[in-house]
Amino acid sequence: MTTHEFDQAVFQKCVASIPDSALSAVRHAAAAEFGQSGFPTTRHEDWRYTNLAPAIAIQQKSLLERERGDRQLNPVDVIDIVEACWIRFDDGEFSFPLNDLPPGVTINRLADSEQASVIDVKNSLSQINAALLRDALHVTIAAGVTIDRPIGLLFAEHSESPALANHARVIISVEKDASVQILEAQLSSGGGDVYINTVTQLLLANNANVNYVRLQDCADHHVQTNRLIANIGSRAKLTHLAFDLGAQLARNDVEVALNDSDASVTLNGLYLADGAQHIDNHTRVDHAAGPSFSEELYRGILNGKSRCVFNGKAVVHEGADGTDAAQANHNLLLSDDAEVDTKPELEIYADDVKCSHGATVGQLDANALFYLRTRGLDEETAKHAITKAFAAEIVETIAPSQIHDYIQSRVDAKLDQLTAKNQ
Amino acid sequence: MPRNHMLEINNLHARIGDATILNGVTLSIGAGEVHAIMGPNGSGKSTLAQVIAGHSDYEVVDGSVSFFGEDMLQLEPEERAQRGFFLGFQYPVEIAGVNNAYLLKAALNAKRSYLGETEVDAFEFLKLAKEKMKLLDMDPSFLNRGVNEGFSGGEKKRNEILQMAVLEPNLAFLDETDSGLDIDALKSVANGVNALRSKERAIVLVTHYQRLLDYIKPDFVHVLSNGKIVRSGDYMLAEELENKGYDWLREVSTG
Ligand SMILES: Nc1ncnc2c1ncn2[C@@H]1O[C@H](COP(=O)(O)OP(=O)(O)O)[C@@H](O)[C@H]1O
Ligand SMILES: [Mg+2]
Repeated sequence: MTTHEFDQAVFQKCVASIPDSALSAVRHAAAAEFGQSGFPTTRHEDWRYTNLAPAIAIQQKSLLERERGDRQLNPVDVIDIVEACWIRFDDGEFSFPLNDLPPGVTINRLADSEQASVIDVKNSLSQINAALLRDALHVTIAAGVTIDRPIGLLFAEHSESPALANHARVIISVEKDASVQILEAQLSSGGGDVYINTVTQLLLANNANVNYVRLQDCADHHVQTNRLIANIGSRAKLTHLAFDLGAQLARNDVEVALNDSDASVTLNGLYLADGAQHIDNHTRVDHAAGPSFSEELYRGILNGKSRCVFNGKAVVHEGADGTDAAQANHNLLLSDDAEVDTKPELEIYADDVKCSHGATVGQLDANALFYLRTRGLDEETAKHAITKAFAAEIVETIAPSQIHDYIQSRVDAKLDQLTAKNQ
Repeated sequence: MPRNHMLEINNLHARIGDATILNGVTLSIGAGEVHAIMGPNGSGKSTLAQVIAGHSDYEVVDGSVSFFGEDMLQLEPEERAQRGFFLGFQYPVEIAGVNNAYLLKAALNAKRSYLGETEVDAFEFLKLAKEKMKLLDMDPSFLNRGVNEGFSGGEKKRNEILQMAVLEPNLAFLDETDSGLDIDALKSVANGVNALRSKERAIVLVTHYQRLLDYIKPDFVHVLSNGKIVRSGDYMLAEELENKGYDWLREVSTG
C-alpha cells in the first residue's frame, strides 16, 4: 500500500470535526503539514525496512467508522503489580488520580491551557498525532523534588471495534534538580484491530534525573508507533530502558538532544520477536554541546519469521568536544527465517571525542545448549536459560524494584513462547 | 556367569562430517565397576564420550549402545542424563550469565522428576550443594557464578565433579577430568569419585596418566587406538602402558 491509498479528505474532515480548544491552532497546522507529507513510505531512508501499510489501513478504517462500540475495560495486570501514580489512557481516554498526586507533581490538560505550542510536530507521525488530539497531558515535576513513587503511564487498548486508531501525547517537564522514575506500559487486549501512535516529550532541566522504563507488550495483531523526544540540560541524566515484546508491527523512534555540557543519556533496549512480528527501533542522539555522554545497548532475540531493525545514530556536533558516545547492538537468531538489520551510525564533527560502536548477529551457542542438556535440562528449558542470560544484560540494568520484577516476568513469559518447541 | 551390564556398547561406528572416528567399539560396563580408557591423542576417546552423551554433530553409522537395556541412541541427551548417565567434559563449556546454582538445581530436579520424586526446594538444595562442595574443597561462592564463566582449568574440572556429586549418576563417564590438575585438585577429584563408588554405580575414567589411577583403582583398563579397543586388561595394563607407551599396541593393532 502507498500513501495514495490514505484518504486525506476523510482525514481533514475528521480533524475539522474535533471540537475547538486551546489546541486548535496547533492541530490545524499539523493537519496541513500531514496533508503534504502523509505517512512515511519505504522510500524514506529511515523507513527502508518498515512498511506502515497495516497502520495506514487501520487508521483509514478508523476514520471512516468513527462510531465506537460499547467500551469495556479489560483488567490490566501492571496496575496491581507496580505501585505507582498511574496515569491511564484507555483506548485513548485518559484518567489520573487528581487528588492523589505525589507532592511536586502537577498535571495539566493542554486543551485548556496556554501551553499548546510545546507540542512537537516535526515529523509526519507527530503531525497526524497532533492533528487528531482532543487533548494532551502535561506532567510537571517541580524543581528540587525527588519523587519516590514511580509515575506510571499506561496506554491500554481494549477495543473490540473492527478498527481503532488512537493518538496520545504526553509532555513531561522535569525541573532542575528534580528526580523521577517513570514506567510506561503499552499494553493491549481485545479482538479489534488497533493502531496506537504515541508521542512523549521529555524535558530535563539542569541536573534533573529521569529513569524511564518503557514496556511495549501489545497483542500480536496490533500495530504501534512511538516517538520519544528528549531534551537534556546541563548535568541532567536520562536513563531510558525499552522493552519491546509484542505487536504485529512496532516502530519506536527515540530522539535525544544533549543540549548542554555534562548532559548524559543511557539508552538500553531489549526486543523479543517471533512469528511474523516486525520490531523497528530507531534512535538518534544529538550531542549539541560538550562534553556530553551517551551510551546505548540494544539486544534482540528473534525466532520464527520475525524481522527486527536497529538503527542507532549518534551525531557529535561541532563544539561538542570531549564527548563520549558508545553504541552496541547484539542479536540472537533462533531460527533461519528470522532476520535483523542493524546499523549503528556515528557522525563526528568535534574534537577529542571517544566513540565506539559495534553490532553482532549470532545464533544460540550449540555447545552451551548441549552441555545443559547433558545435565538433564530439556531443550526448551536449556534454551530458556541461555536466552534469559542474554536478555539479562538489559533486564538487570533495572534496579531491584517492583518494576524490575514485573518486566522480568513479562520477559520470561515471552522467552517461554520464543523457546517453545513448536516454534 | 555373564555380568549384569549397565552399559553395552557393541560394534559402534561413528563419524563427524566425512571423518569416521569410531571404527567398531565394543565395551561392556557393569554395576560396581571402574573402567579406565587410555589411548593416544586423537584415538577417539572424547568422540566415544560425546556419542554416548548424544551430541548431534556425530552420526552413528553402525552398532548400538544400550543403557539398562534401553536403546540409548534413541534418547535425547537430557533423557540419557535423567536415566543416570553423566559425562564429565574434557572441555567444560562456559555459559555466561547462566548461574551455576540454577544449573545444579535444575539438573537435580530434572532427574528427580523423571524418577517421580519431589523436587528439592531452595533450602534443601543449598544444604546439599554446600555439603558436596566441602567434600571437593570448593568455595561456596562458586554457586553464584556463571557456569564455568571465567573459571580456571582446574576449577572447571572440579565443577564437573561437583555436578556429578550432586546428581549421583549411575554411570559417570569422566573425560580427562585429571588433565591439568595440580596434586591437591587431583586429590579432591579423586575424593569426589571415590565417594560415588558403590555396588550400584559404574565409573569410566578417560585418562592419559597412571597418576589418577593411583587414587582411583580401576577394575578394567582398555586401550583405544584408531577408534577401536585394541587391548583390555586389569590394572597391570595401566602400569605396562606407563612404562612402554602406546607404540607397541599400535603395531599389534595394525598388524
Ligand atoms: N569436529 C571434528 N571434525 C573432524 N574431525 C574431528 C572433529 N572433532 C574431532 N575430530 C577428530 O577425531 C579424532 C578423535 O578425536 P577425539 O575423540 O577428540 O580424540 P581423543 O579424545 O582420544 O584425543 C581426531 O583425529 C580429531 O582430529
Ligand atoms: Mg579427548
